[in-house]
Amino acid sequence: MNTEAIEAGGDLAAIQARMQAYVLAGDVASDVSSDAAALADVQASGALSSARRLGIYHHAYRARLLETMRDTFGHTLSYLGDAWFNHLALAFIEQHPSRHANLRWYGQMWPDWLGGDRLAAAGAGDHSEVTELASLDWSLRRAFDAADQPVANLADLAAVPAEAWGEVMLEAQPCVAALTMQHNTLSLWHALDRDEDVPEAQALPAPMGVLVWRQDERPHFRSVTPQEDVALTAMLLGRPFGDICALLAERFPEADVAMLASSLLRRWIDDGILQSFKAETT
Amino acid sequence: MSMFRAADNAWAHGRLTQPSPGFGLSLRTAHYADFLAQPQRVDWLEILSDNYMVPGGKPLRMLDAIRAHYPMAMHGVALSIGSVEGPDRAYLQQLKQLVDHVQPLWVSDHLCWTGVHGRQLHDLMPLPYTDEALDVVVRNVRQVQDVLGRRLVLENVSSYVNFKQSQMSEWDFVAAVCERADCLLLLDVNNIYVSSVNHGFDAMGYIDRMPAHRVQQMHLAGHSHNGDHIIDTHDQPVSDPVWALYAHACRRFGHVATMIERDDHIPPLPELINELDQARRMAAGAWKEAA
Repeated sequence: MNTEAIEAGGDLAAIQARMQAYVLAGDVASDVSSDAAALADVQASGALSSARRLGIYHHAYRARLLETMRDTFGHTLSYLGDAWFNHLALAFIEQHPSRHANLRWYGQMWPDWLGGDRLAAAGAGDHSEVTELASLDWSLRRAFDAADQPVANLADLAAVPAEAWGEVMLEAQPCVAALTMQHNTLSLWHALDRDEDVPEAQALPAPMGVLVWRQDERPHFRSVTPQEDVALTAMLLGRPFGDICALLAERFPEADVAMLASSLLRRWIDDGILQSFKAETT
Repeated sequence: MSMFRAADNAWAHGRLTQPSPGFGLSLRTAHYADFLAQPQRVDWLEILSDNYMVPGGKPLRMLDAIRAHYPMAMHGVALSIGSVEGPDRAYLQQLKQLVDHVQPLWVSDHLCWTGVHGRQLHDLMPLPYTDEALDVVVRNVRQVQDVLGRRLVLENVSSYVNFKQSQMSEWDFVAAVCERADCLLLLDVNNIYVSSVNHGFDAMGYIDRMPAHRVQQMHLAGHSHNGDHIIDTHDQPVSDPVWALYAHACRRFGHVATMIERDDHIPPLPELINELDQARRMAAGAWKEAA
């Protein structure tokens, strides 16, 4: 994608803009303006033409981003296979120039990008489980090096005065993400991870919430019940504990909300997904 | 005759570098367990700064655990010292935070640019060797040095293009940057070799033109032959012509910290330590010759 105007002149900014436009141009042979502009800057010498010299950088840019995506989306790669993965990743790379100095951020938009009709348009049919698999790969990678914060424990829980609970803000660890799966994507992931026969992708009878987090330096994920999904989503939206309980009562009128909320809290403490409590004890 | 004479000579000429910590390796995740399990015959480690400019988690914990046992130098890839726009402030602040945390021997990056107009090419893009580019780099290096409070160490990159606009040779440009910005040099011997083949210049002559009193570190690495040119892939053992250049550099620069870089096809640690031993033997021989 070449959206920068091609600058004229021999100053450094112009030379860099022309070379960058050449590297980013999807098809250098068909992009006449950047092609000719950058080629004119480069000396051909020895056996190598200017185009082949610049071509080394053109190739290296794609190869590096593709390698990063193959590493980040490892299970998606195993599921799709090299040919389909590379085809879809390279198409994404052409449309999404890297904007962050650190390669770890590259590919953040790929799961959503896959979510359109990309696969169908590429002739692969309807495979929306691929988007979910890519989202899971991405969330696990982000959980791996997310920021460290003090983890709330049972003593923190016990220290909250009973009258303060309504206003207590539960804050999740920065590594926590909540995903929603419409397919048996977790089964696919486990089979791919163990190098076993991958089951047929199937739509679930109802959407399922998935919690992604890090514990003991390792990324984890697990499915959550509809009740936990509601509570988790409300917590991640910054709702105080009292609101979360009210929401649970409203959505699940048959449930013993006090029991449910306390068991969820206990589970979150055990999983280490909460930061220390912020109690408003005014 | 003293083995240290070459180095002594360099000191006599006002060497600006820190004393050499010896022979090191680039720290790679594949070798974390080896470094944590037992002491290894490696004098110091070079970390890729950008790999640890992350919010938290295991990378930083591993870094701290290994740093407790090894001196470390920090080596970055995204400072883009040759960008007209200057180094990104947020990146520089992140780098400074890591510097404060690691307390490295020194901090290095590459004499190149890595992207302009908010785009990142994640590559070491070559500069035209012009007076203007020299001014830009010198201004940027000074800015970085002011923020970090220390001399920056810059590495010569391998390149595949020469710009028609260039007004001087690469070696004159590198030497001028060092002198005018008052920074130090990480001489990548493999990069000199790669560029000398791809551009057809005399690699030994390049080394002879480098300011000896500013050479803080040397890199050794492997490359790949690609028909009519070679690519700086860092996925192979060091080649014979690069060893020969390294010996020449040792004779000229004396005791300079040396490190082997391996970024791909990373072999078991003992294999790299054997290669490092080869560097030790070669350097010892060259220093003796120069004495």
